Amino acid sequence: MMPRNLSGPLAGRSRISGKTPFLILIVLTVILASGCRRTPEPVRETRFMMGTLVEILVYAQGEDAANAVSRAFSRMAEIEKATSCRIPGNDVESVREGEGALFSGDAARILQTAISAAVASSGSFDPTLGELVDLWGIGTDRPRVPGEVEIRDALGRSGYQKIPESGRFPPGEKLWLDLGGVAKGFAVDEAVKVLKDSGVGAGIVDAGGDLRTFGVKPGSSPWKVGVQDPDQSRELAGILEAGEISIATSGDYQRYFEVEGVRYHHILDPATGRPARSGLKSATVLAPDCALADALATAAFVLGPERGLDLLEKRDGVEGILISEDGIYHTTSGIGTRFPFRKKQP
Amino acid sequence: MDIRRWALDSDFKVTLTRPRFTDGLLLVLLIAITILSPRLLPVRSEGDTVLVRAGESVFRIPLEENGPHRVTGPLGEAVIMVRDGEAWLENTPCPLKICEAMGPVRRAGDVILCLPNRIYIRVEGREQTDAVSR
Repeated sequence: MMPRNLSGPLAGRSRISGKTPFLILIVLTVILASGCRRTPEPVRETRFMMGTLVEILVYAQGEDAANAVSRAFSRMAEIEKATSCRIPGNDVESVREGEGALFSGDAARILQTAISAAVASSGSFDPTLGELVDLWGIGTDRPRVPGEVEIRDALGRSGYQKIPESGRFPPGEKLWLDLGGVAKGFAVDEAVKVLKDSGVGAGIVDAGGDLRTFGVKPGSSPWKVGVQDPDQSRELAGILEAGEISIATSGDYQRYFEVEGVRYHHILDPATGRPARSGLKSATVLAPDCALADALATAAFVLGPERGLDLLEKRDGVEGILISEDGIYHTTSGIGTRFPFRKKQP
Repeated sequence: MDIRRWALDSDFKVTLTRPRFTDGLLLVLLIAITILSPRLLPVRSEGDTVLVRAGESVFRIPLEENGPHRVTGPLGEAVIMVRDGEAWLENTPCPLKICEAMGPVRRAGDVILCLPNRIYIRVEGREQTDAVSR
């Protein structure tokens, strides 16, 4: 900016009127200060576990941060060992083999969340579909479309009502649990707890899209969480802004195989034993904890746009974005108000 | 800083008068630009490097390094092709080839994930989001 009322050569006596020098100094100071303030780089670590890629990102430095991240991964591995139906020697295997088991600790808490989601969704989420999941083999190297009889028989052996309330499974009664629909979210919650207890102020634990943010980001801006566009793997359907949130998405694009042009995805409808055809392509759920978000995302996907929204609206602190096959976004009342949501421009 | 002393010591003479409307306008404008500039910048840039995790090994490939890069996962060897600032997976030994169907990645934050063969590719750079619920 040139000084006003300039008279004579620049080297000579000049005249600047008003408080312009003050203003310039203030503005330059603000600009320089904002330029100098560097946002600390996050520490990011990834590991393959729980059948997906887990990423932990923390805004903290030094050995303590690295140790905290390592402890969080260890906690997640512990939960996977106790609850995965693919890892032998745990209670899930004992129940599948009819050896009986008394669920306790992590497994009991996960089971409790799973039952609660099953009851709330009238069985649209069911943690006893392990045999059906195995029959379809989606996500393995031997996916196939099972026969009607196989599906009917496996359905007959499933049902969340068969889970004893006490968590004590008697010997001789076989039940093929698949707690994957809750365990991943639960592990995310526990990892966040470990990080917080270790003094990490802010970060994200992300288990293949089931994720939880915590703390305040440097600069105090809200966390920005993208929601995957179910039709284009490279695009986002939109971006949510929030403080601490737990979020999970179920979609037909995540794991699937195709036979004669028909896509068979991994979210099975407990009513039919087949991949759910509810008119949805994805269901994203925000909840007070990630375990619940995980289970409700599956339930909402199976229920479809209307009944799915109804399920989510009825629960305190739960919001959702359901994207149907025709590209319509069905959102609960808190999306856009409680949680700002910037939708992808068509 | 004592502006009056500075004025006396310098060759400039500053006459302090009432600020004009345009001074105020300028101040507001510059402060607004300062505050909003991070939001006005393009938030999702083209990346320049891909971070690759294959099993337990982690390394980076510059996106300007055209050509095939062979990586090995538990199921066997796969090829990360890089060309004209894009990267994609080819010849993967996984059964469903969902990772190949994901196509090329280019922008910061783009991810290709092959779960069966445990290969993870992420374009690094200024990202639009902190995380993505997939």
